[in-house]
Formats: sequence, C-alpha cells, structure tokens
Amino acid sequence: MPIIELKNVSYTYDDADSPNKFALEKINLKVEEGEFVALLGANGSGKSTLAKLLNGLYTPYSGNVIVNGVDTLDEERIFEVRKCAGMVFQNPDNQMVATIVEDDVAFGPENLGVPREEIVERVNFALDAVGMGEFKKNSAHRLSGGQKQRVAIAGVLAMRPKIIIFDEATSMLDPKGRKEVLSVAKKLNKEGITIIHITHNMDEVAFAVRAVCLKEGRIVFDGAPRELFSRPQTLIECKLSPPPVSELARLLKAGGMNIDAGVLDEEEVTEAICRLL
Amino acid sequence: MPAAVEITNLSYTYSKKTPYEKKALEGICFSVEKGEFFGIVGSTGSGKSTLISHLNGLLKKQQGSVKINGLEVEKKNLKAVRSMVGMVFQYPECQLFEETVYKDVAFGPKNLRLQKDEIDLRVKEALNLVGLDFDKYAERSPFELSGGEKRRAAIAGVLAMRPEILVLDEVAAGLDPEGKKDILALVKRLQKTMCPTVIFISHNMDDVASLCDRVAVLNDGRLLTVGEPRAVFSDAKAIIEAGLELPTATLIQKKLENKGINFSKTAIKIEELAQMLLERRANSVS
Amino acid sequence: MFRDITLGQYYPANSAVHRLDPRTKILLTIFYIVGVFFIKTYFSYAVTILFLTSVILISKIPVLSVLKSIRGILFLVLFASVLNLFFVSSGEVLFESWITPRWVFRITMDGVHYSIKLTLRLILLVTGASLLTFTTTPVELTDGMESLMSPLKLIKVPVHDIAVIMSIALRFIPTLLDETNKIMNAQKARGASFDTGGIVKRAKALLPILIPLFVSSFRRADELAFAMNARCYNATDKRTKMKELKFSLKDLIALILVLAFLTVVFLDRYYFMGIDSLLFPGVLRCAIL
Repeated sequence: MPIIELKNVSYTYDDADSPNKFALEKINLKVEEGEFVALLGANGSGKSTLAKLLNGLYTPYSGNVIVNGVDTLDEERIFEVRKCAGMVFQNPDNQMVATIVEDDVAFGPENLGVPREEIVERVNFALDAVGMGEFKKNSAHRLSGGQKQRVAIAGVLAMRPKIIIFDEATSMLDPKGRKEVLSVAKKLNKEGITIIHITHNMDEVAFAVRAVCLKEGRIVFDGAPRELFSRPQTLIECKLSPPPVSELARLLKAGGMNIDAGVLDEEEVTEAICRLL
Repeated sequence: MPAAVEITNLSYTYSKKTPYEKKALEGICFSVEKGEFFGIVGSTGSGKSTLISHLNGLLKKQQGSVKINGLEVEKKNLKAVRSMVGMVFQYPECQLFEETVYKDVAFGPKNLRLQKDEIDLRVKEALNLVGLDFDKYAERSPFELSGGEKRRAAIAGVLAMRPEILVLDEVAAGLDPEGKKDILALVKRLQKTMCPTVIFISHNMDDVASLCDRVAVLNDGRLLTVGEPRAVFSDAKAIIEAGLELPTATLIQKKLENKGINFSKTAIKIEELAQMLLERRANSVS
Repeated sequence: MFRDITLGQYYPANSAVHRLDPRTKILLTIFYIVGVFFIKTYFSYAVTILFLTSVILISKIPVLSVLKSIRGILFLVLFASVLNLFFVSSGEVLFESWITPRWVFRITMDGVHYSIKLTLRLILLVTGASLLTFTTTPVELTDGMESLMSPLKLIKVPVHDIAVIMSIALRFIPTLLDETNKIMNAQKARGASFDTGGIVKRAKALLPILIPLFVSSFRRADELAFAMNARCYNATDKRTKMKELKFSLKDLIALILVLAFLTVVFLDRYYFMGIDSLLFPGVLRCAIL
C-alpha cells in the first residue's frame, strides 16, 4: 500500500461554489514508503498547495488524499495524519513557537499529550538526529537559517512521523544552510522516513529517487531525475532551468561528445568526461 | 576622476565596550571604479551587510573612510550620498507600503523634494525600466502583485532616486528560475541605462562568475582578496576556507584536475569549460 | 547575546534566587509588594532595605545594575516627593513664606517625612519587582504565570492559550525588532527621515515602517498558524508539558524568609503601633501614612 495516495485531487482558492481557476487539477499520485520525491515547479505551479494537502492543512475540493491509510477528509482522524506527515516550512522564523530550542521541539509531543519523560527522550533524540543537540538550551532567534530549519525538522521528528514534507524549506537559506538541511533529509530518508522535497532549485533534485514536475496545477513529469535532466524541453515547459551540470553535458553533447545528458551531479559529469578524454 | 566607491581602512565593532562586543569589519580597503560590475561575496556573518550599510551611511562610521564619488559619507553629506547610492536590500518587497504602485515608487523622489512633473517623469521612467507597464500597474495596489512583480516595483522605488551606484543584496533570493533569470537580465540592463556602477552581493558563485568584473571576498570581517573572478576563483583553497562554494565550472575543473586532467586556465563559466573540453578533445583526436 | 534579552532585563547568573521556582518568585514578589504597602515606620523601612539588599547580594546581580532600574522612575519619585513636601501642611513648621496674602508656601516636618517615605517606598517597590525580572527568564515567567493561573481553567478561562500567546509574543519580539530595523533602513535608503519635523510629521513618517511591518506580521501570523496546526496544536485537551515546575526545599526556605519579613512589618504596624514612636516619640504623628 502506498503511504501517500492522491486520487483525482483538485483544489481551488476560489469560492467553492463557482470555481473558475484550479490551483491543482485532477492530480493522481502515489508515493511508496521510504521514497525520496522531489516535487518541482515554478511559482504558482501548485506545489505548495499540494504540500498542504498532504497533511490536511488544506482538504481537497474534489478527490481524496489518503495518508498512511487515513483520508484527510476524516476530521476525527486529522491529527493522525498530521502526526504521520510532518511539515517543514519555507521561512525558518515563522514556524518556531518557543524562545528556547528544546521548548520548541517539545511543542508537537506536548500537543499530542505524550508523557513528560517520553517528551524529554524524544526531544533529545530528535535534536541529536539533526545534529543540534548542543544547542538545546539556546535561544532559537540566534541560530543561523540552516540551524533553525534543522530545529524545525527536529520538531517534526519528535512527533515520530513516517513522512516529512519540506515545503520549499531550503529556499530562504544560504548554500551552507541548504547543504545542512539536505544532508539531514538524506540521512532521515536512509533511516526509512519518506521525504517529499518541494523546490524550484534544480541542484537539489539529484539525490531524489523520483522527480515530479508540476505545471499550472497538473503533473507533467513523473520519473527519475536523470530522465528529467535529459529532457530540457520538459524543464523549459515547466519554467525550470536545468542545473549547470546538465547544461555542461548538453553543450558537450552538442559539440559531438558522447555524453549522457542526464548526468546528475559534478561527480558523475567528471567521471563521464574522464572516460571520454 | 574619483572612484565610485573608495573604502579605506574601514573597521566596525558592534556593542562596543560591552560583554557582547563583536568585531564585524576590520581594516577593509578597496575601491570600485565607475562603470564596474562589482561583486561582494562572503559567507553569512562575514560582514557583508555591515559593509554595505556603510555605503550610504545607514551605520555610523567608527573608523576609516568611505567615499562615494569622492564625497565622504558623513552626517552632513548623507542626503547627497543617499541620492547617489541606491540600495536594494534582500527581499526588497518588504519595503512596499503605499496604496498604489505609483505612490510607492514616488516615495523616494518625494523625499528628495522634487517637483510634481519631475516625480511623474521619474516614476514612469523607473517602472518602464523594471518592465512594469505604467498604465497597467501605476494605480494598482502593490500588495496584490505577484512575487516577481512586487520585487520589480520595489526596485523601481529605488531607481526613481536615479542612483549612479546600485547596491543589490541577494536580489534574486527566493525567486523561481524564470523570475531569477528576468531579474538578472534586468540588472544588466540597468547597468547599461541608468546605474553604471553595480555592487552585487550574492551567495551564488555561478552568478558572480558570469556577471561581475571584479569580486571582493570577505571572511570574518576581513577582506580576503579582491580581483577578477577568474583570479579570485583560481585560488580554490582560499574560497573554500572562506566558507564559500566554487562556481560549478571551476568545481568540475578541479575534480578533473584531481584525476590528472590539467588545464592552462581556470574556467569560471560552464560555456568556457565546455569550450575548453571540446578543444582538448579535438586536439587529442587529431 | 544582546538579542537574547528580549523582554525586561534578565541577568544570567547561577544563584539561589535564579534557581527558585518561578511561581515562588512571582508569589513572593506579590507578597513583598503588599508588605511594602503596609510599611509605616523608618524601622520597617530599614528592615526592608536590609532584606532586599541581602536578596540582591544572594542573587549575584551587580548592585549597580539593580540601581539602574530605578532610573526609569526617578522623575516620578522626584515629582511625587516634591508634591508631598509642598502640600502636606500638618506638623511642625520648618519653613514658611507668604507668597501672597492668601497663599502660603510652607514646609512641615510631616511633609518631610511623607516625602522621604514615599521615595523609599517607590524605590523599594521598583527594585523588588525588577529583581524578579532580573532573575527569571521571560519563558520561566510565562510558565510560572500559566501554572499559577491554572485554577482559572475551572471557570473556562483558556489559560493554556493565553500562555501560548504570551510565549509566542516573547519569541517574536526579537524577530520583529530585526524586521523593523530592516524596513527602516530600506526607507532611509529611499531618503526617508524619521527624526526631523514636528510630532505630526514624525508620526506620518512612521507609516512607511508601520505598514510593511503590519503586512509582514500578518503573513507571519498566517504561516505560524499553519506551522502550529501542522504540529498538531489542539490535538488533545490533555496537553502535557516537558518542563514541569517543581517546588523544592529552597522554595520553602524563601517562603519562610519572606513571611518572616512580612511578620516584622505587620507586627511593627499593628502590634507596636509603629516602633519609631517608641524610639523617637516626636515622629509619631507622621507615621500614619
């Protein structure tokens, strides 16, 4: 059974009685447990809307979103959904509720009524998992963007989720912060957590197993990142730009070198060039 | 002719003489010539913001000198300096406040106490420059524009001051690839038409490499190096020590060099590297 | 570090006073304030000053910083005591001058005593209250208040929500300060000036800061609401707390000490009817404050 399933999901920000524009239209998508999915699209393509549908912050206009076997329309079980599918948002400053790091991480488990001793355990575990253990007692405001996002991830982890959705969680970070967050995401994925990473930065797609591209509320690509990179036409159609490495591969190929246009990262392109020179 | 920006021995310390004292800048010296596209790079906390806050006197100088077109940045010159230096801060759309785009763009010229006709002219010019159609946008509320449009409107608000020097702090941050491409194209256009001198702050070394004539690298409040991007990025070790990344082309080249494929010059742009590789292959085949 | 001090004036130190349960500190501060209002005699003032000084010394906060907290009310203190000096007309006359045949400017012994006592009282109140904020972080204060207010839950006061609101307010103060600074800089760079002109002009000049600040605050509030919902806010009525407040022996000792102090003040006032009068009978009359 897929851990996330969207069946014919549409969503509109318009008046529900007479919608004339859909942010998402007839989306069908299945995500298996343990997958690392990059969800791509330009601004306004509906990718953030999709993220908010995945843990019941929005409910579909039509169709169903099933997360870990629970329909998000089932109001009684909505907290099961939110507990299972945690979210990390774009702005690091706007998702912290407490002044002190550990208090913030405890917020989720406290809401769930987890016993006190267990909260302490969970908070320590979660902060260690994102490498922020030593900042436990610090003031959240003083941290760097990347550190704040790692605390936000810890806040989600403390709820013991199966899925973490990164809703453009790297878009306001500097390169260092991006790396920090992505490496935590990678690590958690290895430990079995399903990751949905929403971004428009093509550099961050390479290590996803699967890339899903949205364009004006519809899925226009669903496949391996390698395949996506070798189809510049699709990228242009989605108003995305190919990452510099695949740009290099394209130029080399155009110049007559027999190189795979779907190279993912600097390592791969280097290998490929070495073989050809 | 004086340099557009001349910084000599600039130092700055936050919260002086308290337990929280922090040196943000130390002995910075460099100048930016008129007509240059000048990059400033450095990791977060390296002192970039403190540095640019000195360019129009937002921070009061503690030590050293900052001159704009030969004019010292100090209290009595603030007005003149601020009309010469246009500052586009990170996420400039945060500064929008008026009911209409027109009024918002006119805020700067109004502060300069210009005549109504002149203000009108400048608003038109500025909106035109950023590619927002005057008739279509002037009377709209800035808050109902899309993300990219908001940023353009905010930039127009700075351009309406007709600055000669344009300081851009992470001007493409948060935009999607298309928005970013448009904004960078806009910046290039602005340099040709209005602000001959551009100071460009960015974390994206690919952008810096492809846009800038010269780059200054800040590390821990000190000027690590300043020079042409190619020269600066050739010293990969220094760049990495400063907590920065290399341009993708340079990075790939380094990886190739590690595998024994050496080059005569450092590539900083993807096209260059592709060119170099193709030439090399052509040579080895023949 | 500077930005950690978000509200009030927390002075980090590891002292017995810092380690007290915040609830104890809040309650004892209230007791203390009530006590100060019952002080009648110089003797009790002396006891209070002694008591407060010892607490300051135990708390390891530099006396100078504590005294600085008085600066804010200095004007009020001066104003009130001067007023008392001139308008209390009972008691032995020290100085008299007929300004006009109908108005007399007169300073009396009672007036002098009133002024001195009022000054002492205000200073003691403010110093005592700021000792609470010196030794307790805003977060502890919120937790303490939440716990103390929890009986109100019985009458359907949403104590927990109030506490969350307070803690979020504390959390966002530094963020909003940063933001204000950024917006101010952006508008200054567009030639705005905030420190020239009359009151109306200055107030108007604030709009370019306030409007963007409101806009961004609403956006923040919106995003925060999403984030809180995503983290199961309101999932259960049986919300737990990671940090439980615990009374311990030191809280008991502190309580005993403050009660002892109160006993002295009350005994002085109601049993001895003002010890001063026994020591210096002359000041008996002015002791009724």
